[in-house]
Amino acid sequence: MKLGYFPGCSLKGMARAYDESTKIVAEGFGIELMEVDDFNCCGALEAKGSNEKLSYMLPARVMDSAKGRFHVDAVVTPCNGCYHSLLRTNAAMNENANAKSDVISFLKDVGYGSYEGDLDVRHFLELFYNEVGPEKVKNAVKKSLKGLKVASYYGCLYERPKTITKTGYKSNRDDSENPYFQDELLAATGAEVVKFDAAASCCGGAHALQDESLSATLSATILSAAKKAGADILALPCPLCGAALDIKQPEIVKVHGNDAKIPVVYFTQLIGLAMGKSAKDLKLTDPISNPMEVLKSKGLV
Amino acid sequence: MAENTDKMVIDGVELVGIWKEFMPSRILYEDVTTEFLDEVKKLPGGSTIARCYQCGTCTGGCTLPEFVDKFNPRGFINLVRRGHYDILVSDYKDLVWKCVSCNRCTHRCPKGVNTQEVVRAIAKFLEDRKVFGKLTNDEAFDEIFMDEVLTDGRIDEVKIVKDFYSKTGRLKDMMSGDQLSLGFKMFTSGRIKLFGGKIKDWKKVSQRLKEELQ
Repeated sequence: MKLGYFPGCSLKGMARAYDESTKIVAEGFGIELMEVDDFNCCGALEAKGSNEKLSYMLPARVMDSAKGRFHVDAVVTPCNGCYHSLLRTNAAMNENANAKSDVISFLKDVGYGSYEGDLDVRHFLELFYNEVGPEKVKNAVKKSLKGLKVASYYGCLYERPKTITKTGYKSNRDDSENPYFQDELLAATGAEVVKFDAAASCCGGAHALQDESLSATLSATILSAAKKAGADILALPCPLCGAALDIKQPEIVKVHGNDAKIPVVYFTQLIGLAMGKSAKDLKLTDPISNPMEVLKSKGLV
Repeated sequence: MAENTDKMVIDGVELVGIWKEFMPSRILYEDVTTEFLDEVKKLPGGSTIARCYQCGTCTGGCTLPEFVDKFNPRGFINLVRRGHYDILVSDYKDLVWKCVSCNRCTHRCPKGVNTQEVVRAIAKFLEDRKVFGKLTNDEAFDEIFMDEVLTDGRIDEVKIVKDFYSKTGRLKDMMSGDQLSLGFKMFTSGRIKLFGGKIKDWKKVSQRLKEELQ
């Protein structure tokens, strides 16, 4: 199976650590990723609120490019937002004849291929769980993360809504109400995954600028729930949640106090660490919430 | 309810006869106009609104009511369907746009309403009717975001933040000590790029996408 890798805009900017650690982890476990390097923005939540047709055209161009120019069988993205946009476009093209013909005529007008809404779209977390899985991760551990307590957080669009993710209909999907793929992968590194109620709650990241105080309250609820559950660190699979929970954390702590202060990393960074990769390559110094301090105190870096 | 003179005795207990009557309809049909419903249906994401049968599953699982008093997706849909535009504006206009797009409502809806997109469509419906008297934060952000996507093809987070603060008249907030030290850390660690990557045939694509917006 030839896999196209669609990082999305965030991973080429603020969430660089997620991009690089994903590539390190994929390479370490023999997953070959071919980067769709002429990708455009998927349109996120803004396109679908502005213009319906446009919100299908943007992801369709990415998928057409992946299929027509890079000849891949599936496209994988580590970003919950991009995952949502791509799946949503496929669902519309398969269920709505007008949406399909709009997209096809757009691709024809700009001299692209004839994408029909049939490319398999995978989230990197789901793919990594299904193709590699906790057992292989366990066998590949060079430096056990024993003693590190992790809160495993998923965010919203990873398994919601089922109308587009087909959760419950496709066998490779996670449980949408109580996701566990990331929990099992992190537990395989030797880390202790704490019981954590807010694993699939919303961080409010979609309104991080538009409605700052509400967004900060939602993020603070998650961060303090993780801390209350006894976690040393919070791991996640989404760059937008990363922006809300990590980059915005100093502002959140100012309002909501030290209860909301906890280091935040991408799950691929922890898996890479257990594989024996260096903190520098995994960009563990990138997060604003300073995970290096706790990792040092546990003797992991 | 009309007085009912029927008598009925079961096991020695006398029941009044109202059991034979229908409950009064919850919806008074003379009250309903579909003008607003039709308008919302045509907006992006609004097409599934009429499938709603008011069960309230969306609102029961909604992220916001715990934090935002009176936030009620089922209620917003009900007001639009029944044509109560005045109540929507007077009581709920400052709430509708607060949806954070967590999609729990859409995920759980038993009728296939795309609730998250419908709520966004209702907010857009209010924006289009200028009930806010100014550009809302949501509108400002969407405009900046789409403008940047159409121009460059990709999003530069720093540029988005800067343009958003400038468009909403809050540039000085961006110049606070915290923000500047954050920017410094981002820049020195190489996460702010001064020259973003360009997509080679984007101009043609952009032209075509802009036609769609007109």
